[in-house]
Amino acid sequence: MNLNVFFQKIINSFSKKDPKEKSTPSAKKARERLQIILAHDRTDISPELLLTLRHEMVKVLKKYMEIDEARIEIEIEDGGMALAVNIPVIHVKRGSSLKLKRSKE
Amino acid sequence: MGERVSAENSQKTELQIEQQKIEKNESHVIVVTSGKGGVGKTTSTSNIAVALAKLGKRVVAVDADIGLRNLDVIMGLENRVVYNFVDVLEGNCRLNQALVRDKRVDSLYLLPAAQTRTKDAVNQSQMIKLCGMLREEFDYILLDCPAGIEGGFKNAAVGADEALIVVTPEVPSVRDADRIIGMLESMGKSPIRLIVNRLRPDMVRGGDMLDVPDIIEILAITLIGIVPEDDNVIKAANRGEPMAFASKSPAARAYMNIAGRILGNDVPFINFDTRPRGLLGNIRKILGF
Repeated sequence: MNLNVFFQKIINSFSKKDPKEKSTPSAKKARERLQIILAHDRTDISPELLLTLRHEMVKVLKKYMEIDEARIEIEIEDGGMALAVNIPVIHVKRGSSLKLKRSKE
Repeated sequence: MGERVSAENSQKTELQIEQQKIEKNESHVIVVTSGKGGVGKTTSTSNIAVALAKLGKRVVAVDADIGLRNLDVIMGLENRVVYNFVDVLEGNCRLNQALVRDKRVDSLYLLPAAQTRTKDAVNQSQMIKLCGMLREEFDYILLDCPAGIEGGFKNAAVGADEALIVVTPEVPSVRDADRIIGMLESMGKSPIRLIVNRLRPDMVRGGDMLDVPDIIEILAITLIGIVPEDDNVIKAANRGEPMAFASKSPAARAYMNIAGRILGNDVPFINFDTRPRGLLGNIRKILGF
């Protein structure tokens, strides 16, 4: 027997008996899948609403800083429970005591 | 601050309204729904109706599933159906002509659905009117809702104050229930409470069925009852005798308990042994796999 084939067989026999695959109770799997499915289902904010939200946020932020409007990212995460907003700041306006970082979170 | 105060005030008035309802012995309109079909809405409706009637309440079970009526068959009253609620709304008969009295218990009635009509036969304002008529006569009005999220569901839900969600410990059922709960919340129904149906403690123990705490956590609503899988459900349906009439079976007891909780009694939950057994089982539970 070719040595390569022999090793392949050993690897295959391990992957078939992947212990994690076999011993994960299906209820746990169901729970995980449901959490993901519902996170998607619950994201029920219309694109129009998101656009209005974006305009109003930009309006407020512009009072304090110059921002890169073209690169704003807004996303609904965790099934509508978290709003992830990434707004690149070009510079903070003079006189503003706010300190902002160009970071995602 | 102002908002918080007004929120507290509105909560207080809600509570007062609820208390007034109880004092005046006002009627409750409860929709039994699930989204997904075949999870036990009709079985739940019939058994809770029987149980509430046994506890001395004036109860009507309304089959809101126009075109696919089954509540009459489950309750064993199919031979006595003459008119249905569409006839009432169209003025073909009076309400008391359409009501079928269940002779096995005092003050239990069935209001059948039309079998030869479609769900478009009634609209939402007609359903509100019907519920208003029934409120005059009954303490508890249970609406057996059709599956789905379309017109039939909306018609059944529109006249209701409260909702019971029936869910089986399966992914599609929980998913659909979540959808329905969102719709009922936006319609202002309260309380919305959960019945976990067809639970198999042995499968939960083996880690192959979603457990009740998991489902409650995922759906984030209040639990009102756990109904175990029980062969007697099929036997009762075969005979047309809801279990809550006489049976001491586990499912029958669960439905009696649900009725007690609907009346506001503090009924302890039946403790199904769903913990993993033995040393290995306990280790698995601790490790969480």
